[in-house]
Amino acid sequence: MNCETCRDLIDPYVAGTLAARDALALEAHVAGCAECTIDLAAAGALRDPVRGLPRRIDPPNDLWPVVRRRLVRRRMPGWGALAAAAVLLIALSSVVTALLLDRRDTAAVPLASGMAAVRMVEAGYVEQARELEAALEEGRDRLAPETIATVERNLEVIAEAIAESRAALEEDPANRDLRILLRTGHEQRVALLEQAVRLSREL
Amino acid sequence: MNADPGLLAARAGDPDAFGALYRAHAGRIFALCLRLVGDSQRAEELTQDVFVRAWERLASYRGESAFATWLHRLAVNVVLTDRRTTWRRSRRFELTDDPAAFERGLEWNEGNSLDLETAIGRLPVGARTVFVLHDVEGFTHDEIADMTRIAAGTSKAQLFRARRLLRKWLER
Repeated sequence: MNCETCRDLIDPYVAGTLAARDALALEAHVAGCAECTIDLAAAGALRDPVRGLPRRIDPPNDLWPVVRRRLVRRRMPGWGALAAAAVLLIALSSVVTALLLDRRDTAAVPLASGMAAVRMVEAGYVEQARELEAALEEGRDRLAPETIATVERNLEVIAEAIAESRAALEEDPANRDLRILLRTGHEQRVALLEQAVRLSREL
Repeated sequence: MNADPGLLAARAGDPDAFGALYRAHAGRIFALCLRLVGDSQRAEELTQDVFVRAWERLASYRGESAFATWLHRLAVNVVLTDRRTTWRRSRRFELTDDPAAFERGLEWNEGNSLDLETAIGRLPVGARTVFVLHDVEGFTHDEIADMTRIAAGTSKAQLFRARRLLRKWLER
């Protein structure tokens, strides 16, 4: 038996499910192999502690109210979402304004790490959006002028909502609601661009 | 298709029925996200993302597997996709074919003793991902390779390295 085969058999050996003949072969290999001895010992030592890990860990905060709000916003199948996006984002902006007047949950996160995390998340969305905008540009000629106009109008509304959320976060980086609104704005932007690109390719 | 009336109602677009599914599964999904990312606040955000994505894709759930299995796989994809997207520019994500890269990113005092949960969180990201998916969640190396876009052999190497590190830390 070589080390690769031995490693493949370590888990069933530790679990006690390996056939007796294979178990003997494994033991013979391990007796003369320092590396596999270490791997066998590690697998054996961790088996019970891992099995004892809790399957459930409840989130420190109740996430359902936020998830519920996002469900209402996102359940918009098909191209009709484009027409609805402006209305949604106007509502989003209103919520941002309301949150600015009622800043909550601001104690936990240090300012620098808070904005650093926000920028890291934003960078990913910005790159996604840039790639989609390039793809949309390629298919732009296949879309009707009024469709292009609708997309661009909604992207402007989304950009305003994102800018508003970001500005509010600069003031209050630990505000969880504002973080969620900023992410939602970016998600809306990416979703809108994805739909537009998809449509341009279907035509 | 699973005949669970709550699941059917959620699939038909009833958010309150989906809320019941959320209550039933949020703890396991949060545990998975927390172990994969090692940060409670980020795990909360990803848990939200998982359930939003599940809501959007519920119509595509055909009941070939248990709902919990479908949801878990979706959660893994959400976390890994988020990691690729978020870290692409900073190049901090190292699910790599280079086993020596395991050691990079170890940032803690080697003299400390740790409990298992904390020790998992201290693993380098590639080793942590494979360990959580294989030893805690029960995915096979082939499934992990498919989800994480690494070779199955790399997944095995990551797993054994993770176990060695954990054993060393826990025995201090």
